[in-house]
Amino acid sequence: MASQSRALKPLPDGAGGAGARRRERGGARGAPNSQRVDAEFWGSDAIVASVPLVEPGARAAVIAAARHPCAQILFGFEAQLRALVRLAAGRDTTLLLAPAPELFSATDSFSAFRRLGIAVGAAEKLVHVRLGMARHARLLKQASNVILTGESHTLLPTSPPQHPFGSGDRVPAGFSRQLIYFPEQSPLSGLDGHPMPTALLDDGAVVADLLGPGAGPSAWVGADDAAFCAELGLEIASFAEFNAAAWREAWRGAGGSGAPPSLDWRRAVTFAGAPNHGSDRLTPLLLPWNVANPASIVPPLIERLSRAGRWQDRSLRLVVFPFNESWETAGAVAGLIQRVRAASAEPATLRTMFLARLRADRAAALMRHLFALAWVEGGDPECALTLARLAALGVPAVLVAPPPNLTLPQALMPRFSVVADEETRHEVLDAFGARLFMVPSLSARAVAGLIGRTRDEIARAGPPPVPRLGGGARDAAHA
Amino acid sequence: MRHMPERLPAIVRGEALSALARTIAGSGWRIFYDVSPLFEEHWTGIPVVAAGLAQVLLRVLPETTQFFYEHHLVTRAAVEDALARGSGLFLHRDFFKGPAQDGVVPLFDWGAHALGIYPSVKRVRQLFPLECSIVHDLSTLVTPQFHEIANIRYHAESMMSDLRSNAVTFGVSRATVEDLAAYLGIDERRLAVAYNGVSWPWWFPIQVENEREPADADPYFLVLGTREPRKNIVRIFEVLALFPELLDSVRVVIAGRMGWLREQQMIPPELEKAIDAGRLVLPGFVSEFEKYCLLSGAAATIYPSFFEGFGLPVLESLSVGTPCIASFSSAIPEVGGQLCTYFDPFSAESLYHAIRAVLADPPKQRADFGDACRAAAERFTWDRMLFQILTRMMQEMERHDAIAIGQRKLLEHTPSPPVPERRRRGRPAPV
Repeated sequence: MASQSRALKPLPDGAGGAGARRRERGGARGAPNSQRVDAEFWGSDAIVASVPLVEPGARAAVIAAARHPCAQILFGFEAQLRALVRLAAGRDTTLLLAPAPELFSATDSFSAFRRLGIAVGAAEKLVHVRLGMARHARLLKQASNVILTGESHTLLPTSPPQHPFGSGDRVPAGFSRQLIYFPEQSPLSGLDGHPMPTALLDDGAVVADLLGPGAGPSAWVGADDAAFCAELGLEIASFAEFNAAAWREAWRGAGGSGAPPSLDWRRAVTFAGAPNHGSDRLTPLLLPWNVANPASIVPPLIERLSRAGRWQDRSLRLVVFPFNESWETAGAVAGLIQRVRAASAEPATLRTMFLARLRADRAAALMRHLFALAWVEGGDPECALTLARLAALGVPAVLVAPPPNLTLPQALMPRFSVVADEETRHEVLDAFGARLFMVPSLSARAVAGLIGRTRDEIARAGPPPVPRLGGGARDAAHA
Repeated sequence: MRHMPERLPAIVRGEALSALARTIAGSGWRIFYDVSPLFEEHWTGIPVVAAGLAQVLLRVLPETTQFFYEHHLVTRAAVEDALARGSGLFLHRDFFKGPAQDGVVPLFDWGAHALGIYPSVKRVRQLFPLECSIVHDLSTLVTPQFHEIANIRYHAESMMSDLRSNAVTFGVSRATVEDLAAYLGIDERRLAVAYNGVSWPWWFPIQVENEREPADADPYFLVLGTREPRKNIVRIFEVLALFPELLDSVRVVIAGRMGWLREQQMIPPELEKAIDAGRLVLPGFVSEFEKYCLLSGAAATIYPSFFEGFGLPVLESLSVGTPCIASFSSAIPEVGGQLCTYFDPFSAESLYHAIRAVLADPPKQRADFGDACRAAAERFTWDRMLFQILTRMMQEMERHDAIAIGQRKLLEHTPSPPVPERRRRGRPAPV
């Protein structure tokens, strides 16, 4: 990963004033003096990872991390976990997963580790890597605790929350350091407000799982079925077809949703890349949604689009990929769909918006053939991680409403960015307390501009390359 | 390493507490004890701890202790009545109607010599010069997925203020104290362990003999605790659904009131038959005596909880000589020591193997098991818990007194500031 960086153009002062009240954690941007992750880290007897999972999916207190079935693999902490699995495998290090590291305390607790042949007691030899959002961080006692987060920055609430970790930029006192992917990432703080020491992971660590064997085009070439997406692990349903129970069950580790292939999606991909309505082409557009970001502008953006008349005529098909789902966000996806269904101006709109998740490597290489472009929320704390993953997948990105002072590695520069031109109030009431965020966002006028520039960009770059699928799918795609 | 509380010399269990109480009573300090947990109608968990400590305070420091709820004193008679009933139903009613109130907390009468002891979350804080509170677990912080949002917020909003206003914070186990240090960065010098205790009314063992089940009844396993997601009762349902043959030879009793997030603890339909046949029994909330009867009659208890600050049901089980099959999580092994059979709370198979092991070699039939259980119960008493609290707080009281004396001496030896020249001459000083 290139370490060169440059600041995106700051938000103009007159454009909504978002910059004035925005507070960044850690004061200065970036993690100064980051050292590379040392050999001692990788030389540990075992590295135990944990993520903000809910327990129902787990069948033991400690498992091999590679055996953990992810609900989606593209973005967020699950993507981080898969990348870490690949990194550890490359270094011949045992990577375990503890669904609930907090339950380990006395010696008897660690019997689960001993059964796996891991001697616990020499604390310095057992390393616990916590993945995911800072406010969900948990510790593993008797281990050296480090946090690996994809969060580059934090939008702080306008008033300090009562919850000790509610601001999102502080972690428990027991963490000794923070692992980062990019030098541009701001360090997290302990509860005392002091920035944590950071260590930079290997180049390419953020996409290690996407670059390894088994993820290349050969994995899907020859796949043969009209519903090729579901076969390859891409679950997708339009907002009209969405079934909340199936979505939730699949997330809770109950396997695939078992839902029939989406007819709306089949219709969309059938016409992808083919002339339609004169010069227009139906183009699926990828929209990652960090569900764990309480100040995300993705839900209001989707609602705004759904209320706008004749969105379906705009030739874009919005495919939302929620990530970082956890106990805290249960119901967020279903809630959004419910609101969109209630507010949508035209029922046909619901058939042009999709909800998706990718569960298996095999379809990863397919993404660049399905999506001409991705809209990435610039204010998402994990936007750099998301951009890096999209770049590895070959999907070009557009940055939507990036915060002022956002710095990105050169290699992750988007095709273009649309700056925020207004500021909205997000009132959040959840387990971390009542918080108010002032969020840079896009007005209706700016959204219209975003759509226009997106269409221009797609027209300039041409449609995504047609996948070399087997007979059935190819026939379906070019019918 | 295993954190087992060390065995105290015999003197500590009786005479030492009395001696300490005499010292405190003679020191001029008053103790104010927060009885707000006792206002619950059904006492399980924290109210049981609060009641245990109140009982001992009434016995060893009757003249030094006063009880309070928020800013009001509570009459001793009302507290004694609640302790005798084992319920706060009447205490709650009488307090809010007035008879149980005993005026406001005298904030100034006792000067600097008042110690506030809060057995749980502080409803009001910084009333007394010295305060301490007991943290029972950090589950709302560490495992919020098992709690309702209102409960999480209630604890989160008061937690840091409580800790900041305490001279010492007590955790009910080493695991809880370590959590306080590791998550919230509390200085370990301001943390201490005060293990919970267990006690039963003297007449329970006699009465239970009269109500024993017929000897030919099938043995049963008892699961005790409020049905809430953290207690992991679903793992019991899962085992019974996966291995239904277990119910051919044993019955399972799941006692405890229904708590929150009910949808996560629904009984699977395949167990309906077992309920109809009386092989799976769900009596709901049980009284203390019913609990004692169930505990002493069980072949073993099962405690599958995901996270515990202490694990009172484990101790209650061992105190009546009944073995416990417990999850190996958090503080439970600290309490159960080597007397429990542990299993992985995520794994139904692990629980099944533990049950089979207990059935194959019932600990209750081993001669030494009862003695070991009695010895374990002796390590955890309310007397000892209060002794741990008062010993530590005595140090704080002495330090507090020393500082006050030092400040007085300093004031006595500090020369008065010179009076300005113009004031001496009777002119007003400039503002």
